[in-house]
Amino acid sequence: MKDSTQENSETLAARLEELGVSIAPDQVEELAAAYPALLAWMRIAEELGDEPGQRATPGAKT
Amino acid sequence: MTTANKLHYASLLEVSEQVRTRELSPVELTHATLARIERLNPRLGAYYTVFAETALAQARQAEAEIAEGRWRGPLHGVPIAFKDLYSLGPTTAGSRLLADHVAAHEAAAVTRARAAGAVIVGKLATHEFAMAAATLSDHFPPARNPWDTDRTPGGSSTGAGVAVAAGLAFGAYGTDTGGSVRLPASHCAVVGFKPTFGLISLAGVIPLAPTLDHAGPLARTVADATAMFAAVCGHDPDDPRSSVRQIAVGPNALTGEIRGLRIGVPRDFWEPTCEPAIRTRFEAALVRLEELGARVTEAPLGLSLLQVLAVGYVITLTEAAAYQLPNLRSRREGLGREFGLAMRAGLLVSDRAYRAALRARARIATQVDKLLEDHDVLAMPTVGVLADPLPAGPRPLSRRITENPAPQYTWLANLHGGPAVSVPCGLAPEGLPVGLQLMGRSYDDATVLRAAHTYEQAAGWGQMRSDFWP
Repeated sequence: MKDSTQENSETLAARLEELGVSIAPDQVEELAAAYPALLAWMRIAEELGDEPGQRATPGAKT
Repeated sequence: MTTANKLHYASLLEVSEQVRTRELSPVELTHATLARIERLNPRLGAYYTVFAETALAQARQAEAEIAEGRWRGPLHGVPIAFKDLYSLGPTTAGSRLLADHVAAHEAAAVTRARAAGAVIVGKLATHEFAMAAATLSDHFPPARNPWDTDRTPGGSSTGAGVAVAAGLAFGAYGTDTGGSVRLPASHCAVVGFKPTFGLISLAGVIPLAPTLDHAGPLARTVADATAMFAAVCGHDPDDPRSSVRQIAVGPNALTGEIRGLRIGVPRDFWEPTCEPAIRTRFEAALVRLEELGARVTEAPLGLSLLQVLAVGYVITLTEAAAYQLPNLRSRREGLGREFGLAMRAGLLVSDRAYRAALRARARIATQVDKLLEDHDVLAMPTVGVLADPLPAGPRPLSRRITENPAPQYTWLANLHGGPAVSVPCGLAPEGLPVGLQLMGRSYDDATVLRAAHTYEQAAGWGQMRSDFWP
């Protein structure tokens, strides 16, 4: 059984692979550890950038 | 702390005047600068490359021209340097990936400085591609803060801050995407000026985030920075970001008069994240500005630091990752661990988030413009923490991408696009410099420089130099 961090790491590695970019196993764990903060930044940008009435649903998948 | 009374610590305009009147030989000045670089650079790491022979040739040419009465302007015959992001000879961007890269063409700003008669003594250290912090384990040794060599000089224009602060050049050109001119200026106790977006050409400068990148000078005085700006500004059709609206800012703009100037202080933006020692120095600077006749009032921005940084980083990571994608795909060795990971994070930013960040940037700029309707300049510390110790190795990505990022108040001006300057405003009890940042309306660079110059002349902090490099 995979834990959520491992699954997240595999998902991120797969997304990079789709773009033709590889990542070493130890580095993908580091990327996964920082990813929640990156999501938070994206959410902040979306909330600030959305027109009134078109705000992103809090926690929406990006 | 010592004050500047030696030739290598003289201002660019002071030596320029001596060169113009032939009291000082550009060749002797260049010899002295090269000798100081040779002696101190192994300990400070400011320069990657030194152009000793070509610099001396430029100095000899300047001396001959001035002797014939053909003085070109304040940079003529004066040794300066460029961050290693400007295309000029060996150009590495601080990356092992480009360790052997030699630029085929030189950057437009280099060409303009050369046309102004500058003696270009070398290329200066930078964080990798103007982003990832330098560490003790990098391919290129990190530049070290002249005030404490175990600490960073601030970046990404690390070598530029060090060279100007330690008397290894009379001025330097850096680049500034989120504060990379003003942060080293603050941490090294020199002046750093980011002009209005588009006023200095970026043609031939390796990009980080093209919609946020700026070029700008680091100097010992605001007047020096003004002269360096004036020497290279102007429309450039080879840079699509270059503004067709150009301004002239010369020494006459620095009147030393700020009576009635309206200064707004957006405390809600910076104060919650600012260290007390820095806030103390900043408050003292505000008192000085009021004594000089400025009217200082509160000016709430209505935005948090985290909002501004999140927007800045989403744009920067996305644009930088797009530029670096071929390097990432090629799987070539050479990108540093921290930079490579940051670029991979940039590839994970959604298109929707990037587009929203661009809209958010416009909204932030509008908020700043509203404040600048009622205020001539905005004042805040340049950065809310003192210079960090140099890291031994790559920092974890979660140190860079975090919900508690380093309090760099510089990003606001990059997102707004208007002018911003950092001037020294004192030392913290730890003996480390603190910077005052002034921001202004787009194309009103003259007001920002005038305010900074007036404060600098009255406060005198611009004369302080580290005791370690007499």
